[in-house]
Amino acid sequence: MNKEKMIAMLLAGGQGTRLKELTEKNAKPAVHFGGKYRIIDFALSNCANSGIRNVGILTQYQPLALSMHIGIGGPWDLDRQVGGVEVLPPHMTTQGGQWYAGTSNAIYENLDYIDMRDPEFVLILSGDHIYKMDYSKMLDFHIEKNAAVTISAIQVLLDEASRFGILNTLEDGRIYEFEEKPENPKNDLASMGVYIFNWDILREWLIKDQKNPKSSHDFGKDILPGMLEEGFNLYAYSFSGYWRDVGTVESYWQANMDLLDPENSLNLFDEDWRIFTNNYNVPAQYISPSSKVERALINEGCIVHGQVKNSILSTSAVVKKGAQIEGTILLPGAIVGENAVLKNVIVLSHETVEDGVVITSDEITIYGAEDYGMVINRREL
Amino acid sequence: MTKKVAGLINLGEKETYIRELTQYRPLATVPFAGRYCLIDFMLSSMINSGIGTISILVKDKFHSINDHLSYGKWWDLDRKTGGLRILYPDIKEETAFDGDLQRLGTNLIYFEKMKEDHILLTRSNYLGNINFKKAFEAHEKADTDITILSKKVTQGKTRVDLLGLDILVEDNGKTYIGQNLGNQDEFEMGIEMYFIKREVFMEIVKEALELGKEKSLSAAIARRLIKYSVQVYSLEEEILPIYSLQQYYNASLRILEEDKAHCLFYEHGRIHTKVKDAPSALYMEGSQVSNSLVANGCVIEGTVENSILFRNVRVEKGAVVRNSVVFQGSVIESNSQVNFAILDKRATIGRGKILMGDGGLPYFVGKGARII
Repeated sequence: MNKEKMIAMLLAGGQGTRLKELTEKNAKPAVHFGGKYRIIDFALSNCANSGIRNVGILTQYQPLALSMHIGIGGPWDLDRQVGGVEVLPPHMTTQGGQWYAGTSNAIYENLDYIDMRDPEFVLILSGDHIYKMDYSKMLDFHIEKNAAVTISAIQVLLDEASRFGILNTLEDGRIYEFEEKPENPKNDLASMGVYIFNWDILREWLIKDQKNPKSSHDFGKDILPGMLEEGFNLYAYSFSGYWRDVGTVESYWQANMDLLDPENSLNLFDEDWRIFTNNYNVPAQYISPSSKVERALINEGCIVHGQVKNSILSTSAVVKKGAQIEGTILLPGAIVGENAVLKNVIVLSHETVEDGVVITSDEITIYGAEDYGMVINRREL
Repeated sequence: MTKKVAGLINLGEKETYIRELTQYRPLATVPFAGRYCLIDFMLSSMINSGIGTISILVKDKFHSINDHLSYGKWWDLDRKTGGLRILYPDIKEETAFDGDLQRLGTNLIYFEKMKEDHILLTRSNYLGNINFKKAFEAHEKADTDITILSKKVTQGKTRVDLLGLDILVEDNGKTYIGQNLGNQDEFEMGIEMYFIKREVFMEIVKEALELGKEKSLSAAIARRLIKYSVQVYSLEEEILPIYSLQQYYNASLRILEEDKAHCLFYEHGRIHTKVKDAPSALYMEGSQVSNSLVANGCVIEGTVENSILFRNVRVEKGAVVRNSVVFQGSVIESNSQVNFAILDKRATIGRGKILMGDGGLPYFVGKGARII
């Protein structure tokens, strides 16, 4: 089996500034999503379901909730005697220390970790995308094509293509041009930020890139274009299915709302590809006689007395009597007071919307100043 | 309590009146409240009270116990010191299934080697979120050999659900265990929970095994109460005994009262259980849910009232579920009606079918049954 030959390096240090208050105190990969998950759960569960047993997680920005969430990797069966999960923050050395300067620098700073695992292939992942993908199939493709690098790619709308790294390919998937966020994209095939490298080649390039003072130490801007220029085999592995980079408040909100469609292609209900996460030992949700619930995704521990429509209720959220919420996302432990009316609101974790408060807008409103991303320990009612 | 008390949950409770639910599983792993098994409440009460060494004396249907408890991870009982131990009978012995005393005898070495000086002996079928700390303080302070935990009952004459359970009778400074025949209004109900000094526990087990007069531990203890110093400690927490299908049904619907649910799920700590990673429940367009407890993984398009839905239950369009308890993975197909029923795991109620029990006699649909 090839699967054991590959380890994953998961980039989880990003801030995600465009998510505003959601990432004020919380790294983007740790932002709550879909009632019970955090965004990083998708990449981690993909690893678990693809049979990857070694995952290094590179953290930097606001790592507290993220590190607590990952722990020793139990929810993803990564609490292993051999291998498992390692959280890899920036660190000091005898030469001093610095923050991770870019995506490829973050990997470079952890050469020792990868060398210790001694893999044949390294899978580079980003911890801030919502999707389900079998990386073992991508590895099969990588080996079959005898590629130096395989980049997972997805078709996007041509209008939006300038937001992504665009891959221009030959018929068999071989990449002849790589354009990072082009103004006039020639193609709609976008890089998903998921790469498989042959470790010996990547290792060499990381060291070379580190010595280049002009480099920004980024995979998309430096490593991949550089390798292409030198004539390496770069292949695009085309992925079709649900994939979202929830980089803005609007796209985050929309991706949550997508889950309300029972036919949505992410299909969280697929028992053969479960998304794993931490569990908080709270009881089943209670829907009271005074409530009305329609088109909603509601998690354990929630208590609903009011009206809920087109909304997502995360762990232990409460909607009190007479309250009406629509198009709203309640993060863990959020409370909506009696007779409050909310439309298109994201209520941050543990925030309380006082009784009678009305917030209705066609724009999305974030309620609360900071999301620490913690899940409540005990509910007092 | 951590280093002083070891818990012992003695399975093999009487299942005569709850045969429907215990055909494939012991009482301990009968599902409850949407996502738990009965034993979760006792295990969680123990760990939340600081007990870190817990053994389970099992009688039969091991697969179900093993599936649920495994090595105790979900209760933080995967420890090097103490933790969870399942005490199996020795099936080589012809007498292995005679009674729990024999099964204890096989496992005596476990109790001989442990460092804790007291045993908290319980069953799995008295539901509650119990803080054992106060009771143990009383046990330690009085320095009695045995402290029997009880629950005060008022209006006992009207409580048909408590018939046949233990009554603790104090007479002339001695304590006796009698049977509730419904003739008393106020009494201390025995709930088969005891703090016993470990050496006394060992002495009772060994003596009873040697003399051979009793087969069961409870009988062995009851007959020897006059020999030891005994006190009764009445618990404040609500305790729901589950030993019949009717009791199970009533207790299930009782937790739909919000204050009851709050006490049971949160009062002295959370109830831990095996994790199953189901997504949040999805309520679709047209769903009507009222006064119900719904577990994750459910998809609801129909009507649900006064009911408990376990994980991954599907209620299709036009289907109506009322006053019912529906176990994991069951499907209520479109336009069918289920009222006053208990559906075991993965049952299917076909399109347009009508199932009707009664509050005093819930209709039971077996595991995997297909009514189509």
